[in-house]
Amino acid sequence: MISLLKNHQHYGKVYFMEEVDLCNNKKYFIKSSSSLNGIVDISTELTGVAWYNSKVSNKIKYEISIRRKSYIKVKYLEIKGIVPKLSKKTYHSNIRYIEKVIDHYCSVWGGDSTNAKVPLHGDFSLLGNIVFINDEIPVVIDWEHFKSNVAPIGFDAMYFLFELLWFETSQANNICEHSLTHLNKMLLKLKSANCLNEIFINKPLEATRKFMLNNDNYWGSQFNKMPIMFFSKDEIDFIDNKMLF
Amino acid sequence: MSSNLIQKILNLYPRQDENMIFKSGREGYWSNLSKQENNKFRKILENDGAKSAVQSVIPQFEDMIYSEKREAALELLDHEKSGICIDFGCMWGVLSTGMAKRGHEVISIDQTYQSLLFLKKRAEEDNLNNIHIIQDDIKKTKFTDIADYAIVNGVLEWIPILEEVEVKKFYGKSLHSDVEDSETPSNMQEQFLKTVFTSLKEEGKMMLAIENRHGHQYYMGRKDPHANLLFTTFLPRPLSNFISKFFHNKPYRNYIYSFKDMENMVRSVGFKECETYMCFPDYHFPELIISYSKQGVLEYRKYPNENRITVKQKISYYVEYFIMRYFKAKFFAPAIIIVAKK
Repeated sequence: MISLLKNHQHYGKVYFMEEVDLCNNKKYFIKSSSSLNGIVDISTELTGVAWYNSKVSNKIKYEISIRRKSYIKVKYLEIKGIVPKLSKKTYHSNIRYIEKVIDHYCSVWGGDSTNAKVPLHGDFSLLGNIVFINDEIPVVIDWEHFKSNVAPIGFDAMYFLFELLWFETSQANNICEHSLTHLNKMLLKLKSANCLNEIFINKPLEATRKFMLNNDNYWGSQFNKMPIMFFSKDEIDFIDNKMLF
Repeated sequence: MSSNLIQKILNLYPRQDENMIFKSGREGYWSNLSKQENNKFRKILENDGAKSAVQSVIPQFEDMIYSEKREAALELLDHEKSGICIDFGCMWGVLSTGMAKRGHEVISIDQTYQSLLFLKKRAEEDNLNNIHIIQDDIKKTKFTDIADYAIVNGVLEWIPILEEVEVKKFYGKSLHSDVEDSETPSNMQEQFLKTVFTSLKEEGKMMLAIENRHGHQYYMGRKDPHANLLFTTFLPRPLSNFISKFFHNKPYRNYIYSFKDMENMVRSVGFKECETYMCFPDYHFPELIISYSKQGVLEYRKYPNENRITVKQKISYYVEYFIMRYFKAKFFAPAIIIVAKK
């Protein structure tokens, strides 16, 4: 049984389908495209997945079904696990997952000097892009924005943390002190694992946004929808002042 | 494969004109544009090319013609092996282009020469040399066991209409009607599906897309998309016929079907296997295509739609969401896609 679940969504040019093999009880997610931009996005994703697979033991399994000049189709085997619920998209309701993801970030991205440029995921988000095997082990998916060695180390982790904080802020119209304390703890964890470039040390939120503003082409037309770009100046100052190293 | 295929086409259509369009001698007219608009369009097409002509003369159709979003239903077919595809009633060739990009040799057939000229130009601009264009009445094609795929997209409901169609005028009153004594619409549609069936090789697949007669939107006051009348899609045919004659002075002939009736018709012409899908919000720009089954309806989910603007459209969507999520009312899905195997 095949279902088309998304058709050119989020300004993309990709068909997203689900195929269930009832005989083997296996589920696949299929991405395909017949437009040049879509083909580039899917090819970019394949490069990202290949890099990620070289770093982790829980590899993303996929097969390139068709690759032609004007058409591409890639089939991903479903990763059986938990995707945190969209209804709980605040920082404080996801503390357990956040800690696992930051540990995972350090193990995948760490190892180089903190000044080195590292690969960029570009949408490192708990909201649909990270699956937890057995509700424990994170697997990062959706590598459409992947770029090799362009980001200061720590960027994706910063994006991940501040996006959740933004959802919390926008929902409660308030910044929870407990969340900020925890976020501080996560920054210290990244720093002690040598996974935080010094540009993020003083004003982490502003630095994260600045990197995005200077490289908005990495996100194309999705840039204007990236949640952390919606923080107000006051909120940015308030949050950055609470980040104490 | 291309030269073999061209030979097969030449066997049936020995005449090719200066635009390399195979000619049957049968002509007709079905277009969203009036003949006058099409003449203007043709001049710009010849001078400035396909994309410029669309942008300058019919910008409102640019998405309809160029958006790959429209090709989504083609993803229900298997493209791993290249094959031969016949696009019946290809019009501007959106799906012909889609199949060509997926690596197939495409035979695009339509009665309207102006539309085919556009497709020819577009194929040249897109460097697609695997599209072969034929001007013919799709009801009268004689292909036998040639195709791996057949596309019947938004075509079946127009089969019973014998007169020339300029869509805008067709929605209004008809001044004359000479179709009264012709065959019943469903017979004509069945005959046409037999023609499609015959054109396919063994195990060849047809992809058919059509509105659902019982689409929830028609019960909520959306007009019949072909007859431009209220309730005629789902009322008994004689009553719809009466309403159409009363308001538009012409019989009701754009028959569309329920899921079950459509599948029955497809099976009745000989197709062995049918995969039936629900399509939301319509088959022109599908956002969600899910299996017409108990399991399939569980996949129903919220989807974006830029055309959901008016209050009525928004209410219609919320009603759809409610009846699909909570009542699994697949019978009322807006559109039908059937992939049938010979």
